[in-house]
Order: sequence, then structure tokens, then C-alpha cells
Amino acid sequence: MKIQLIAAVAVMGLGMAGCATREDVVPVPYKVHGGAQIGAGVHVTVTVNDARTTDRTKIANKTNGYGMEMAAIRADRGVADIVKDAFEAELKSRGFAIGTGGSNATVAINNFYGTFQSHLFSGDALGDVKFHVSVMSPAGASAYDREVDVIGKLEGIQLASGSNAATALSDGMSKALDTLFADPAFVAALENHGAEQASSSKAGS
Amino acid sequence: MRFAGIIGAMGLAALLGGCAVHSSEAVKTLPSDMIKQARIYTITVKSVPDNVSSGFKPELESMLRLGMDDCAQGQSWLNLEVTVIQLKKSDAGKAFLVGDSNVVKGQARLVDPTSGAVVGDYDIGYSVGGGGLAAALAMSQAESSMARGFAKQVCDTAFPGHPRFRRLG
Repeated sequence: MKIQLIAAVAVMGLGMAGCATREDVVPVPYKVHGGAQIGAGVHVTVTVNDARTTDRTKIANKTNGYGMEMAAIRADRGVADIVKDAFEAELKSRGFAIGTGGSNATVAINNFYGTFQSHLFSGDALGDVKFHVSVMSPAGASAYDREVDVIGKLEGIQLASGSNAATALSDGMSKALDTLFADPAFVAALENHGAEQASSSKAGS
Repeated sequence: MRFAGIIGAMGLAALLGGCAVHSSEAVKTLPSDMIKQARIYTITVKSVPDNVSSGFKPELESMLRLGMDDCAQGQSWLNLEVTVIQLKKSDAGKAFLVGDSNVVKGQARLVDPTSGAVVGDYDIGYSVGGGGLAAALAMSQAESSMARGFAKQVCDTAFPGHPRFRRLG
């Protein structure tokens, strides 16, 4: 009887430990939304800085049923690279060119962290994404400055897994970039300084 | 008997589930010689979340002092700077019925007082969770237990392998 009991406890212990205590390393996919062709080939330089002050080595933690943080969930590459690629893809899809000679857009990543909420029969993965975005003219003058703080969401999940956290963060990234490109002041900052640079190049040539 | 065994196993598993876990990680570790030789001079709690009482900050400072005096007993002085960004307190009713947790998260930095350089940098995370009456009662003093847990985590993460917690328990 004692052996049976110990075996049952061991099996249950293994079952509990199987997922929540094992780290996940996952890609954070990004699907370009795109938009109107507003860039007209204007050049933009993109710099992304990882300015996170907490949870700097991971993108989420698995959680157990009580909401306790368990094993780490890590991205398979640097968070700054993930955001830079997504931002540049959105710029290109709108007709901007990536390179020097135009505005300098800088994104500071202040938060990029996924959490899980549990409900009665399912749960949600939330992706908390916070960027500080600034645009400088080629001459170094400030043209745009804004905090973007959004929550990405993946509803109806069954597991607090790495892929679910990554999907929620990807949604958060999409929302953050959509917010930026929907801001006329941001687009104007990219276009105007790019246009200024283009016209000054023409005048100089 | 088999049924009783399963019930017993589930009970034990539930008890095992209601425990403390940490999610602390080093962003920048102290050099190994400094781990052995460090001693903490000043402790500064730079900020705490809005949802804590006025007693949390001094209690955390006190726990950190106890912990650091135990786990960093060398001769090279370092300053400790701490920022607490989250303290989630369990809901007693939820903890009793379905289980809940206390969670504390923040950052600890070890600074060389002569140069001002950050020589050690750590993300600190500590959770205590469980369900049922015993767990609900155990988690009722959230600020006190999380201050103690945070201090232990700073010791464990920054000074691994040191004798510690003689006074933190």
C-alpha cells in the first residue's frame, strides 16, 4: 500500500512538474499589417534599444493554477531584434526605405512581457508591450515623441505555454505599431524630414 | 484502499502545489571573487508599488539588512539599490475556495560605492501560493512574507553558496 501511495504521489508530482517547470524558448512571430503607400521611398533609420527595467532575460513566465510564476519563457533571439524587424517590415510595407539620409526613428522597449489570466474553463494570454518612440530629423531636431502602451491578447487558451505568450506579445506589437502609424504626427515626422532631406539633397546636387 | 491511496496522493500533491517558488535571474552577475568578498554598506529601496502600506518599505529595508548581513560577510563594501515594481496580494476568499498567490517582483542592483558602477544586476521574483484554509491564512500577511521572500531572493541570486538566513529563518 505504501509503495502504491508513493508511486501515485511520484506520478502526480511528475505530472505537475512536467510543463510548468520546464523553460520554453520560442520565436515571436510577426505578421505585417501594412497600410497605404505613404512612404514614397523616403529613407528612415531605425534604432531599437532594449530599455526594460524588469524581466530583462525573458518574455514571460509560465504560471500554475494559483498564479505563481514558474519556469521562464524566453524568445529565441533578442527582443530588440524582434521589434526592429517588425518595425522595419511595417515601414517597408508602406513604401518607406530603410537606410540613412532621412529621419531617425528610435524605439526604446520599456516593457515586453507576457502574463496569463485563468478563468473557469479557459484562460487568456496577455502581452504587455510598452515603447517609447522618438523621431529625429537628419539635423538632430526632435520631431516626434510618444509613449505607446498596449496589451496584446490571445483568448481561450488552455496552457500557459511559450507559444501562447509569444502570440499575445506579437498581437501587442501589432497594436503598438498600428497605433503609431495611425498617428498623423508620427507619419508626418517621418515624411517631412525625409522630404526635407530629399529636397536639400536635390538643392545641393 | 486504492481509492484512499489516490485521494491521499491528491491531497499530498495539493500540498506540494501550495508552496513558494522564485523566478529570479541574474542580468549581470558579480565576479566570483566579489561574491566571496562583498559586504553591503547602504541599502536603498528606491521605489515600491502604490498598493502597499507605509510599513512595507521599512520592513523590506529591515529584511534586506538582516539578509545581507548574513549572506555578504566579506570586506569589500558595495551598496544595494532595490526597486519593487509589483506586489500582488492574494484574495483570502479566492485562496480559500480555489487557491491564489502572493507575488513580488523587482530589481536589485549592487553598486561599487567608489566608482558608482553597477557590478551586479538582478531581476527578483518570488511567489507563494496555495489553496484551502491553511494556505489562505499563511498568505494573509502578504507584505511581511513578501518582504522576507524578496530579501532571501536577493541573497540567493546575488550570493549563491553563501551561508545565509540565520535570522531570516
